[in-house]
Amino acid sequence: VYNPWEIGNPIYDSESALLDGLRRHDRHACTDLLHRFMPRLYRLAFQITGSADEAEDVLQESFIQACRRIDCFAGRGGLGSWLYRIVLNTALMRLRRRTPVTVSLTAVRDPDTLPWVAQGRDDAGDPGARVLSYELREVLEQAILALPDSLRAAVVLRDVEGLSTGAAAKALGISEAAVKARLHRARLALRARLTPYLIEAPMLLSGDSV
Amino acid sequence: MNAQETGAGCTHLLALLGAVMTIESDEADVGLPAALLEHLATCPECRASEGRLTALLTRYQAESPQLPDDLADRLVAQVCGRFPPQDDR
Repeated sequence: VYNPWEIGNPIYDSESALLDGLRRHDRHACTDLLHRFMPRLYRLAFQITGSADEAEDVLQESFIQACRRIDCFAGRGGLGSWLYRIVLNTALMRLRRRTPVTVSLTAVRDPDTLPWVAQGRDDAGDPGARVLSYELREVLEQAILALPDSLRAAVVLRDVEGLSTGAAAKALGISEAAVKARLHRARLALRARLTPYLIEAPMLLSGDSV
Repeated sequence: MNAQETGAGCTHLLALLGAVMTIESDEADVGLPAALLEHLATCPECRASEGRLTALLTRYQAESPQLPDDLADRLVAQVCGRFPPQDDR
């Protein structure tokens, strides 16, 4: 008999089986849920809060909430979309409780708090690595963080997480037209902030010179 | 020296941005998408930077985040320790 934290791999072969397991309160269903969705949800929480510590707290709160409220999940739109919405709402609620912070494009964050930093450093010495430079990644993340909450959520869901407009609208609880309008505003603000980097982008994005 | 040489980009972009920042609701945003599309159609600089932003975001999206050490273990212990029915430790 294994304890929940000793389970390393998904034990349900489909999402519907996992959902049944969660509804029956099977011992390992929550663990399976966590392993399945954690990486994507962590990135979402990190993008919204801008903090690795807060992203972890958001995930903890969200998974507990999801497991406890699984009977409220109607099954429409998939488990992933439902979890996205919980994580998004939890992260945005934390932001609202937080004292407003002005993020400057020139501000330097502690590199060790960034989840991508190790990958960037490891690849820095490899001229053929097809990853973004550390500088470009940092500037992009700061630009996203500097957006107002509502615009940041739209651009993270659509352009970073790759959700469809419909899925993003469901996650945000707004219309598809509103998602598109927010995305236009967010991208305009991003382009304005990133102009010097976008002018240099052919070199930075070439993949061969990074 | 033009706007691009100073790193400021298209001046119309900055004017649009000023308008964007005064928008307080999605309902008040009816004109912006059309104005943006119209401008993109006529401004090669903005069209290029829009394409580069898309490329940048696509590249960023494709790179998986490196999760903090032991995050999965910590979360499983924290979350599942409180998931009913309680574990049998």
